Amino acid sequence: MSLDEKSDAQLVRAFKSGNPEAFDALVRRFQDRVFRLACVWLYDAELAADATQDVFLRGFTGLKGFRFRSTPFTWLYRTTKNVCSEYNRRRRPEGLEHEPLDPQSDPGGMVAEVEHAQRVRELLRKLPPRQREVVILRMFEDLSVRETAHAMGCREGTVKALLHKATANLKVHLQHAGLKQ
Amino acid sequence: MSKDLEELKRGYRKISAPPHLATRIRAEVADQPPSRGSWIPITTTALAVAAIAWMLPFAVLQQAQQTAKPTKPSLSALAALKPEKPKRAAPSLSQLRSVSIPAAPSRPKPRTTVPRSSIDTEFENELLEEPSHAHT
Repeated sequence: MSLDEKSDAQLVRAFKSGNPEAFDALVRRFQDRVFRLACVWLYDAELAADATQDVFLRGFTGLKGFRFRSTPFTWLYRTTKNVCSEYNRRRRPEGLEHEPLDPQSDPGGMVAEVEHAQRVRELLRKLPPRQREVVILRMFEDLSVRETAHAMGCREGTVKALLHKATANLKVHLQHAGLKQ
Repeated sequence: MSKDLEELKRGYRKISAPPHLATRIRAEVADQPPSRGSWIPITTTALAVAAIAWMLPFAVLQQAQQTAKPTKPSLSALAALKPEKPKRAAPSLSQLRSVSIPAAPSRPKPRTTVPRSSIDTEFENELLEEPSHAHT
């Protein structure tokens, strides 16, 4: 069985047992999800890339002591949230979010990603923080209610209640944003 | 999920990490110094092995000494042992009756009159004595 076919927990176990390729496989598997989270929480795509790099650097040391009390993605999610909070505390008061994007000054080709992220971020910012988390984890990342509750550190009933409220709020905001066809 | 939310989700899922990011992460990880705690498991294991190797001869020697010594009696064997009390013949009742008991001293009789002291007698004598001018 190749590393890419292994489950998340099996990959982490392989990494813990000293397989360096297992960590590369973890990066390939989770970098998009971590980057998306960072794009939603931060105001700059380059900053999101730096934050993603920091998350995996912390994962390189932190996952060696992983005890499988949660899923590996839960651990990465919480680490991404912490890293982005630290970045936001250090960011300048005037953000870059309202600056028009120039494709020519975007050699990394992240304009489309930034636009998507901006739209999602604008909508999610209108939600309270907990509802925002539930939308990202349950609706966008397709985590189960149980996994979402574990990542957020709350009960499953709380996740369902938050999701119900968040969905209702999002529909209202989407209507106002004119995205409804 | 409504269409709007589906569209929002699709937009979110379109976000992907830049292609060079994995290479950057790999390079950054390779530059990391070895963790400070990496020597702990090796040292701990070595110490444990050394401790076992040092204690093993003592354990073997102790076991050999125990096999050479006579076995200690079990607790049930010890409980079966009873101390032998010296047998004494109980005296018979006739022997007890024949034992002479000294007579108890007689109890003093209670006095019917108040004991008179010499001071009281002299006082009575003085009262009975007639004065010298009584019969003149």
